[in-house]
Amino acid sequence: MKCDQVRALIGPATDNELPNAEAALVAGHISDCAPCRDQWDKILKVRQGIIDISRAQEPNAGFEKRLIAGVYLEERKKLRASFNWSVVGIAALALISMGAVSYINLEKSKNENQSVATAQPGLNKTAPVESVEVESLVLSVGHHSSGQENPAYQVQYKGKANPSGFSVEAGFKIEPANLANYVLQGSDIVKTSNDKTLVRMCYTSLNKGETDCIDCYQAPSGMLAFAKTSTREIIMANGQTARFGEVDGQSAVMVSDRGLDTLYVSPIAAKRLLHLVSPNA
Amino acid sequence: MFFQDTTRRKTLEKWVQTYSREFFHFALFRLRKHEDAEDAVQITFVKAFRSYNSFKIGSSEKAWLYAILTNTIKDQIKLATNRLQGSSLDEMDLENVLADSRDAPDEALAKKMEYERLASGIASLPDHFAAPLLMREVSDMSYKEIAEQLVVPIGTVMSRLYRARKVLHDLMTGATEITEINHTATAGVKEDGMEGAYEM
Repeated sequence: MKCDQVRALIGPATDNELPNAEAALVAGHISDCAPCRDQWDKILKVRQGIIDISRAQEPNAGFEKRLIAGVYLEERKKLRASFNWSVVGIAALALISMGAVSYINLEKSKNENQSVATAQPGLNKTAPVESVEVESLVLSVGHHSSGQENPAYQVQYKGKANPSGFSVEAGFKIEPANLANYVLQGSDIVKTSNDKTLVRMCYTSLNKGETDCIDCYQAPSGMLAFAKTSTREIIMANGQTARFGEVDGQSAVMVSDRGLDTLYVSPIAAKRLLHLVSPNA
Repeated sequence: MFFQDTTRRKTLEKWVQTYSREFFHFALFRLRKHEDAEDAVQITFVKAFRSYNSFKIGSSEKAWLYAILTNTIKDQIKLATNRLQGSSLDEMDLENVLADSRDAPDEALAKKMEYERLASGIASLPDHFAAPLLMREVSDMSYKEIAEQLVVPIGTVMSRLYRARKVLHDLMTGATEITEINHTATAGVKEDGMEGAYEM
């Protein structure tokens, strides 16, 4: 076999794509021909590089579990979104019907009484809210919430990047949670209609079969407030105080420390959530 | 709760077990960041799960999943407009590549630099060169599988593999620069099959 013929076959030979007879001819040739062997070695050098780099770059621990949990989470969001749109659709229909009825009544009243309705300015205006209500926040954007569309909260997905990285955008120093056997699944910036910014971090369990996540909301101290929930205050082993209660059928624990309010919400039992938040509690 | 359809759920778990690591490496070579690669694989499985009903039983699940993965990576690359500027060498940490190396320190350093150039080169290759290369080297696909996946003749696969390997080898050894990669890879390309001898 001539060098020209062999060189066209070196690539397929290194890829085990040649029939045995041809592969043997190529192998025989390169054992005696330095320039052709050099071509062979170049391909193997690139291949070895790719293998070595791959070996050194493995996914982070619990990758498979996080992938599965992530798919479940996305499906939940999708189901919730479709549920919300159904609710919005029904609500819109109801509003249109009510509007139509009101209009008919108004016209009727105009005709009957020849009177002019005078608007009462400000009656329907919602008073500005200084803090963020935990209940409406969780109901609106919680991953396990029963789903109540609320335009007061705008969620911007930030991926799985380290949430500390967008502290500047949030306007306060974000401190990611450290929950044993849970990993960060995704982070979001949540903006409220009254110009507040907070962060939601979602943690998923590495334990097999556990698909319930823990939502961790973080905001500057004093911003998050339970408005309706009956909460209990406890003093933890490290001297911190925490409040816990039940929001939208889920356990909720709020810790205020070093200028930050951190609210944990999850369907898991309150005791377990408390233990995860503060192992010595 | 969710996913009463246990067949779909079991299929997802099987896919994740079988392909997640391979997909991760495939994505990492193109996107260069662990987080981005993990996100790409995550998005791939979410899309696959949602489109489960469109998957034809009996067809190649691997080919179907790869089609989703490669499209997802393309989307990610489009989104990262400053990908090349941002792909500093420390994004893909190669420190531990040589952890077990028996090379002398200076040789180890030279090898590390070669690998950094190789990783940058793969990330910078045009898609039509990078895809067959990674399908061959990371996913261990045959020429026939790659040709079917990319809908090109086998000769084109061979030609693209040759080009990609050549340019990467030249980059590793410093014979070409990363800025020239697009021109070098595509210069004088004949994609109608193996014509004549290839000289690397």
